Amino acid sequence: MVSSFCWSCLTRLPTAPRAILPPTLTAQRVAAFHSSTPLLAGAKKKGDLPVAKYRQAKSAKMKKKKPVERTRPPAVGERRALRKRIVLSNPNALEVEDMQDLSAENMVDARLRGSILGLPVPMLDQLRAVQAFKPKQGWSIFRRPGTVVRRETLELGRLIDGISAEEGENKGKVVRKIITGVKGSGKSVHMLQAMSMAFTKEWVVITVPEAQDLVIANTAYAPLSDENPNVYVQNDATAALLSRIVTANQKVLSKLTVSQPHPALKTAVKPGMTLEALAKPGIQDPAVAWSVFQALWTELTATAPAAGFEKGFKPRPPMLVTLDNLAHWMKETKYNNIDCKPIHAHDLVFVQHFLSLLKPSTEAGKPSLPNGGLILYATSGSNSPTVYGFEVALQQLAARQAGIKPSSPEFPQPDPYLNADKRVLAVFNDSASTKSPASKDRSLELQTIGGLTRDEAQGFMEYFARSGLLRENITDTWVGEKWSLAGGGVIGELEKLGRRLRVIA
Amino acid sequence: MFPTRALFSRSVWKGPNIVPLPLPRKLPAPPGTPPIKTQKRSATILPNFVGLKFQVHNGKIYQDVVITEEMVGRKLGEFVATRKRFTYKQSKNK
Amino acid sequence: MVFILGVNFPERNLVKKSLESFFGIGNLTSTRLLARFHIHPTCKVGDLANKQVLDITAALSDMKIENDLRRQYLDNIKRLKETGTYRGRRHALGLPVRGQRTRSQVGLHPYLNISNYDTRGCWSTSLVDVVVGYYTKQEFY
Repeated sequence: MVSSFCWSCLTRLPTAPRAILPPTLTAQRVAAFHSSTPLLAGAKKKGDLPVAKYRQAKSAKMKKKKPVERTRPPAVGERRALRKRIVLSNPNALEVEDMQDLSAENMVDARLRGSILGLPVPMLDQLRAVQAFKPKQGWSIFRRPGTVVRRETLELGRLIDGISAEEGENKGKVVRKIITGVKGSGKSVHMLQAMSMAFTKEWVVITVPEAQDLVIANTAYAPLSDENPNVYVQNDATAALLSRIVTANQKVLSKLTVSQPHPALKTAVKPGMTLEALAKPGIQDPAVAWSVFQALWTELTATAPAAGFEKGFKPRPPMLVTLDNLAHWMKETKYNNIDCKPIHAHDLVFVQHFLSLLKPSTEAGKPSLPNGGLILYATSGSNSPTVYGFEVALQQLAARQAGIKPSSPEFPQPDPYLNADKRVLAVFNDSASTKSPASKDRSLELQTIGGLTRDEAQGFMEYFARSGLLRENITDTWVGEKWSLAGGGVIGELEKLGRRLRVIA
Repeated sequence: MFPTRALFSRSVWKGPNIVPLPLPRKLPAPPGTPPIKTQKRSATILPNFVGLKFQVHNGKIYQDVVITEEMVGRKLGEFVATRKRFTYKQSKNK
Repeated sequence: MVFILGVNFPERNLVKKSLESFFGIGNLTSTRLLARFHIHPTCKVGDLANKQVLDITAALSDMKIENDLRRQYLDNIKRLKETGTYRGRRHALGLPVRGQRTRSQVGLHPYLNISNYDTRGCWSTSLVDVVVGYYTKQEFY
């Protein structure tokens, strides 16, 4: 006889109607010849499911179908909000007692390597405002968000510390990096760490959380002006950018005042106005967002006040500019121009602006970030288009970094048959050619993020154990096994392993 | 862009199907000219046919067709049906 | 609600779908129209600027759409019929025009032939009528 227990979940299955079950042994013993009597006898009890009736008249009249009750569809934007929801804490996870918060002191502390630094709670709102967290990053399994201090993190901490230091060789320097790495290697979290360090150092943080959003034709676009109709401005996206900048950097921007005349904004600008107030109209009215953003940018890159604006001028802080999923900006967009041909991403003025930061100086010959700062543009391992020109450009960048001269035969050249996009190559090329040795800017670098080391992986897995997610003895051999399973310590894979073990244990 | 292929089921490079027909010497034809009897159903109607009277074979007999201006560019056969309309006949032996 | 060429569209509708609701505008034409006025494909009718609405209306009123286009179709068929061509005759009879077989499966032709284009509004009901007619009428063709 079939057991009524389900072996996987150990709950009792609902009893099936007897008519469809094979007659049991006892029933057969009672009536060896007919099976209908015991069947009917079984069905007599009240409340039993009806037995199929045979040889009975059935009317041909079809029953009227009842109108199906449809539940109301979810409100507009509700499902999207649910999909993009970011949960940063799990009250069921244990609190890790001696976890330190990220601060100006410990971000350069090499002793903390391999441990987890928590993100300070007041900063979470800022990080949310710049959309530093991604929905699938697994913040929701721990008590509070924290990140691993790995080699790259310490380097980054030293860099940020050096740039914002009062003196030193790195003071006011600009570092430009393209961050690559395999899927789950922690590129986006690396940028998050950069943002949190920049917030502790009171930098201005400007982010583009997802490059794709600007090129998939989901926001409005329009020609910039009648003079240059082939360059397009995205007002709504710019307004969103301004709102990210203002909410995240409100503390910094409210202390700085206007120092330059802005003829494009006309009467809206008065001397003594804070930069926060300067940016506000751009958020409210997307039509002026781009000119407001340009005004804000000239203010943030100003080195000295213009005539008539000297009162209350403060030196501008360094800037952190981050961008995720760069490859989307290296091809044609989904937007169409007036002849219904796709617009190249480099024709969008928003994209142009951020890509121009990769070069040490603007077209007018001024340095692009005179107050120093850090530019981190990351590629993505999960949702990124394959752009041949971009791949070659990154290879060239790596070769240049390794000291191979562009004239040497080993220098990677694009295959002439594969139509590498010239505009893409130009973005990464110029940074080398116009580099002057006297400039304090470093040329564009390529940073590849790999896996954690064994020690760091051990620290990470211990964090899982101490949060109560893992019931294992964290030994060297065990960590070594997981480290190899995770493709050599790829942190995203390690996290998945940590989660899966929780289910088994 | 090509004109619709349904119009020209014939390849465009061939041009219209020009068939030598016994046209009257003088155009427009004087009254009393006999109709042109032909079996060339696939002959394209040319602009100088307008106003002429043709007798086009339908497989059994020659039917009269007077060419008007709208017919130019089409074939002679298009205006003469080759099939009889189907009619239901009561059968005698029920 | 936004008026485009005299038709009222709810603000939550996509501009592209709204344009395609006009007879004679499909995917290609609507994409071109959107590109011409710099409207992104996911734009809702409510997000259009006033000028864009006017531009679209002006562009649409220059095009041959809706009843003008329907009339053109009917005129073309009428011309075929009046000239006495084979195609015109097939249209008049409600039989396949382009040489399909009539020995079997001609049920849909009277419906699909544009000769009765004006009756063509709703797929389901007219389709049922035609098919029912095909089985009930003895001398259907």
